[in-house]
Amino acid sequence: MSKGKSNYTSQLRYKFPLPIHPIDDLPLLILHNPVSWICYLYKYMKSHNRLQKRIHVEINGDSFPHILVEDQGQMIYLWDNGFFGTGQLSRSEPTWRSRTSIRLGINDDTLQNEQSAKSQVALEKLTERRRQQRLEFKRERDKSEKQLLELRRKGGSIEEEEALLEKEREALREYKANQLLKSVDEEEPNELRMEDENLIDENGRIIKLESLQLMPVEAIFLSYALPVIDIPIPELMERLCGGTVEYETIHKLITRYVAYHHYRSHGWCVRSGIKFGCDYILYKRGPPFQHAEFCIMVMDAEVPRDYTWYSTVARVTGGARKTFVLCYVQRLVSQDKILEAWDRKDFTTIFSSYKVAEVIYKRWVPGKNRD
Amino acid sequence: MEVLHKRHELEELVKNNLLHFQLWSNVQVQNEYIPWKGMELRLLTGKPSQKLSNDDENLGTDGTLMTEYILPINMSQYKTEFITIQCLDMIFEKLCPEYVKRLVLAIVSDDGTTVFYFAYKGIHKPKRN
Amino acid sequence: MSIAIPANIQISAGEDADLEDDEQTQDWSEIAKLSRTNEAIAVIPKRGEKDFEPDETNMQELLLYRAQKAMFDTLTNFIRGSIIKSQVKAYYIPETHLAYIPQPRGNFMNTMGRATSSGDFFLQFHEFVYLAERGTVTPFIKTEELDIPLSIQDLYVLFKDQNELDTFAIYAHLKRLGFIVTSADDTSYDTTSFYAPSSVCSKRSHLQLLYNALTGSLAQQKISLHNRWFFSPWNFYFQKYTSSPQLYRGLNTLIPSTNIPKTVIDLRGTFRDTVQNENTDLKINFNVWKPQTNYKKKSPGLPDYQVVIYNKNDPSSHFPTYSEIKGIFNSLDYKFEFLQEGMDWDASTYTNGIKRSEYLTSLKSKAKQKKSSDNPMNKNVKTRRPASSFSPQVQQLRRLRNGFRTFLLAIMDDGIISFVKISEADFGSENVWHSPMLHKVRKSPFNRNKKNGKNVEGPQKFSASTIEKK
Repeated sequence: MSKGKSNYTSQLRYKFPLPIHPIDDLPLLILHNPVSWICYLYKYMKSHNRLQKRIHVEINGDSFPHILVEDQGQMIYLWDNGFFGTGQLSRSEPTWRSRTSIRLGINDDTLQNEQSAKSQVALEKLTERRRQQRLEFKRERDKSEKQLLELRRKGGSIEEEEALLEKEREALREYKANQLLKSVDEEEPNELRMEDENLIDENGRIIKLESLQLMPVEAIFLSYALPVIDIPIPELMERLCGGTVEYETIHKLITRYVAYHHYRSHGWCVRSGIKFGCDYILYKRGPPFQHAEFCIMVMDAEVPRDYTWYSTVARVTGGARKTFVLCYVQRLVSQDKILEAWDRKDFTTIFSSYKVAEVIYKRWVPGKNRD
Repeated sequence: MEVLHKRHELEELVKNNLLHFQLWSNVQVQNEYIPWKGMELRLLTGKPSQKLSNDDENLGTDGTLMTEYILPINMSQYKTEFITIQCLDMIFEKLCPEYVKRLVLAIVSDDGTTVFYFAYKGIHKPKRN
Repeated sequence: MSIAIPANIQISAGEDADLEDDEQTQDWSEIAKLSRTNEAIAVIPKRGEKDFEPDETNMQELLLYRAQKAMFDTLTNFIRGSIIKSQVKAYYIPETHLAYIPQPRGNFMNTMGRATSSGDFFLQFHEFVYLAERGTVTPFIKTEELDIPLSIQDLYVLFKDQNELDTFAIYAHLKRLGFIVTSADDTSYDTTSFYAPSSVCSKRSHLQLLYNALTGSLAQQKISLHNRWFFSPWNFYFQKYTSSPQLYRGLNTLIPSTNIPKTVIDLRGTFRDTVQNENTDLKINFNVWKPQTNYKKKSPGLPDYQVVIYNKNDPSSHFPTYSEIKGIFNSLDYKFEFLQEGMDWDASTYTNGIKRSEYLTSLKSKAKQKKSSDNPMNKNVKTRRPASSFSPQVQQLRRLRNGFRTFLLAIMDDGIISFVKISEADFGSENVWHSPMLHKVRKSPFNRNKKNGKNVEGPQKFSASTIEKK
């Protein structure tokens, strides 16, 4: 879907930035009307922020746990309220079922996010089309380069080469212009594959194949910071790190979480940075609204890396026009203190024993900074 | 003799991803494996729905796309799984037919994303833009 | 396709677009035109697309050869040297590692070298080599009998170590681009500081420091009492939150973040490291001014940038750690670009221990000085749109993107120099949450759900019924 255009639908759909909603339906309190006080008080007492039913997560795999939400409604709830998790068969929002029903031409009224799946399918078609056009263009270019090579092999003169080049350049320009004129909506029927047969159940509906996967830090946030998923935090931590731990085993997870919580708690939508070679990317509100502005790399404060590492990440993030932020996480107490708190399951003490500091890393070009 | 850790779940994840997200066909988990650092490393094979790289002349004898060999790898926010040159050499030698010049690395991240990269045998001419 | 000059490594497309211009290969054929002896080049190859790979044809070989020749011819045939009449002799002095110029003249004197009180003119060694390479001065060494001319190779032998060579390379790089560069430890001119002289307010700043430390630890204490409650399992049973910001305020008590100076008062209140950390080689090496014609060598005022040098291949060195970066931030003293625009730098900086404005008035050529110091600033302010005219969101984004105190890290990699801007940032004091209360969707009154007043009626259902809260 196109970014930045927030329409009525998405304003409503993504109304809440967190899966715990505020009590925002209190009646109006009118000072000179005591009845309104009673209404207000009654309503206030009756309301609470908790979910009626916590979201169920499954954790698969032993050494590399996958934290999964499998219920369709719960998957979409987590996506809509803060953009948590990633559909395992989607780019981010779990739209596989809806996309597949569109691809196979099946009507299924149980689908909830058909609208965004549709726009995604349309977008993917467009991307596919552009890819195709680029391929065709490259084929044309290859042809003209073959001609040039032939000329060179025959021992053509520089003048001949110049002439040929000019001609070919013109032809390629024209080719490109024509490509752009072609309309995008030439629908080709989708070919059904053998594999697709297994995707439809006896009622003619698309089977449930996709789960929403939560990053470990997302799961910690949704268990420890907000009561959203149904696994208690001590159990989750033990599942992720094992029963008895050394500091080295938990250090990375703690610092990653500290950074995650830091950005989440200031209102950012924090998602995995795997596609940009960094730890996290920050969206101001969420993927449907804006592109991510920042790439975050979580750093140990006193452990420098090789320069090549910084410049590599900066190249990739700079190429995607994002600001590269080094998020240094400093431990304020001894490792033993952390381990003691870990044994007590006192995660609040643990997380607040780290401090974050940020540094922006940006290539600087002298020629562009002279005035 | 240590017990080798089977990576069944990882392989299934990659298989599903290739079949139902990337829309590949004939995706199979191979039977043969090599032991590596306490794990059974297995490849998957499959046919992509379209050319994977613009420079590919990777057409089989029947004119369709060639079968690709896929190596699944785990990646996590807080743990690492190592793939070394030595390991890749062994895979090329023992798990692929002689003519296979590249593997597709399927890196399964713990955020639910799978990313794909090529790993070539020996030096490979860079891709042309 | 025609051959480009093969002097560059191809970088794949899609990289920083604003960097591309700088990385284009130089077109030597253009420069060759300036050379007088370019008859050898019949056809000047133009810059075009690069050949992707060798095609083993003679034609390609020939084109490559010509392109190469254009470059070499330009280098070898260009007339070098200076006219005897205007030659400036500079003598290397081994004892001091400086160069002495008996009859100094030329534009370089506006920004380089220094004159002693007795009127003798000296160049620092890196200035000497730079000017000698350009042919501005002719290098000599004096012996008892005669002046021996030095070659550029001779000069390079005189570098004391790799460090000095790196320093020179970065100096020369910036100079060639027009910047004005001085060594950070050069005390030959009247230095200007953003900070008041220590004698005036050291007591105050120490008190300030103490105060900061105290309030800092108190704040920490407060945090731990509050967050213990928010993150206890009972929180949502007893506490009610009526807006998303309330929830966020509970959430963001957990992780302490570093407070950084953002205003004049903050900056003056922070402790400055005037003594360099002894455990690290990293220090501010250069002060850099943007190219300008009214630079006053005797008292240049605050620099625009400060440069720290780091040799990536030196095994005893490493990329700065956070505390090293922090140490450099704390020792910065330049025109802090994040302070409000239109800032009167003369009124808020100190030269020789007195307010710079007073210092400038005390100088003889008062009127002239004042004019030249005011002009460039005012011009800058006028051409740029003031930050305060942007929306709060845009201003916030700028603060996050640009950060605050900044230095330039110059990285030397076997002769290849690149620069990185390292800036202090503070995400911990900016909140970007979306509040549904403030961004309420416009809706017709009857589009409300009667039961609980919530907007669940829309074009589509947006929350799963199983988890909808009561």
